[in-house]
Amino acid sequence: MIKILKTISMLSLLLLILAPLAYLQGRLQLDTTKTWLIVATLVWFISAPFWMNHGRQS
Amino acid sequence: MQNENNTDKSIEPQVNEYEREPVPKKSLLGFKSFVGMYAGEHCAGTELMIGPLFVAAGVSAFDLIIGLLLGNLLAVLSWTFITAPIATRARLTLYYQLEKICGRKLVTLYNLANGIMFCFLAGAMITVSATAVGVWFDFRMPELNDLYPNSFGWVLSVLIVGALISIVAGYGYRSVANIANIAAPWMVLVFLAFGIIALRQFIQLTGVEIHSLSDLWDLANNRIWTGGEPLAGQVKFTFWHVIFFAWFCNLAMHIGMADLSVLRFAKKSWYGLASSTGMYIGHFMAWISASLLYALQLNQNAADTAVLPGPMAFKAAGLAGILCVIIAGWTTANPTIYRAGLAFQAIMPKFSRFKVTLFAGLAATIAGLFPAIAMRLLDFVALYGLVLVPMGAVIFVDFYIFKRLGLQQNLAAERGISFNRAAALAWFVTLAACMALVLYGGVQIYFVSLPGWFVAALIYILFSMIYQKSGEQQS
Repeated sequence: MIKILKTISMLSLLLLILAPLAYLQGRLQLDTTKTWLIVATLVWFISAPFWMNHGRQS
Repeated sequence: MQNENNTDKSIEPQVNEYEREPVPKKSLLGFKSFVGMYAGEHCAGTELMIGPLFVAAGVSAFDLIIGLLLGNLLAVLSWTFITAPIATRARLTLYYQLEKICGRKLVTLYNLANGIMFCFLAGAMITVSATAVGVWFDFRMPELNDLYPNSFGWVLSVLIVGALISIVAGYGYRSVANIANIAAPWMVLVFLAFGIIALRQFIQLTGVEIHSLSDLWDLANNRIWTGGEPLAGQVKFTFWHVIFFAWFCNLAMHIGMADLSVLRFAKKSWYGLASSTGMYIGHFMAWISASLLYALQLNQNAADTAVLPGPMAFKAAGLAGILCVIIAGWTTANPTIYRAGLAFQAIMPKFSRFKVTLFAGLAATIAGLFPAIAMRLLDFVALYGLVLVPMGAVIFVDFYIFKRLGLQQNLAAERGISFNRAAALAWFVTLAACMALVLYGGVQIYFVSLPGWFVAALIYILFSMIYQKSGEQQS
């Protein structure tokens, strides 16, 4: 489960960088880029807490 | 600037351990721990103010890029060759090391100075977060040269943000530190997104075509960081200003020795090189990205000179951008207020940590009401380094030079004194001399800390010779 969540988190970070790069190349409109950025943000903040502070509690 | 949350899992739980003893071998940490920690620490809310202020200071593309590359390199070398060697040999916190040299009373004064500076710094971070509120509520926000709060909405916004941050800090910052750890990689990429999006908008706005690095350099030179006169009320930044600012932005941490507390856990002194992640992500990429946002705003409307991270981030990256401003400001202000509370509590041990932290939060909130601190952040950061750097010189000299001169190292601990007069004179006289140079000598504050370090070192040696050789008992 942690592995899946970690992969989802990493994909969200990838999206966070690919969306602006696509905008730079003129492949995305600004509004669409902003939408992808907030989607990536939500996915990151939902998935990352499950594995990022996992070892810290102990 | 420094965000005091540690992104690394292993350092944070230990920073409060071994406060009065050297870190044992079993608790030492590997290089990777410091890479993560420094990368997270130096990508903070204040980067969103510093980047734009470079543009307001009329910096040119060459001066900014090359100045930041070199200035940050000097900062990394300072961590590696000045802080880390002492940290890995003594393995003590800054405070304990200082207490052994200066005595408890003088360290208390140092704590007070540190606490006050932390409050002002946290105030600037509250200001940054409060600008995000202005995106949703229509009130007048501060202009570049405003010194005082200029609308009721602004005051209300700062008070609410400041109260929230202070109350959370009062309950301890561990939960916020956890959020900061999670936010750190995301925040770095949002900062990068700001820069990429602003660059595209520059290309659209100017109609230039970018086919090579040379085209990009032309755009940077002619439209983004054009050099020339600074905006009204701002100091002109040259190549040397950028180098010294980048080098001394965290002066208190490296040459000022505050990071002895962190690097005492390093297995090897070359782990100081890990600071390069913080410098080149936070103080290079993030500053450049933030400055791009502001330069774009000026290109779109030259009269719109207000440095407001909230609206700038919202325009570029929408809700993700505004979240970045809020989280960056909040996660940085929170531990800063907490640390200020700790510093004050050392002076007033009778008061609970909660009460003292709330007091520090109130002080930071009041400071945050005044946009002068955030809008003059470049000056304030330079002052912050200047105030604390003489004690870095005292530690350096005491560690490396005293034995060779036949002087007593760690005087306070060895002789049981609580106020080392030589160290106090080194601190006060250096500060007075440097401030006199700034106020009456026409020397800008960015350039006095380096000679100040040497002055502090010389005064400390000289007065230690006088006091120690005359056998005069210190208090």
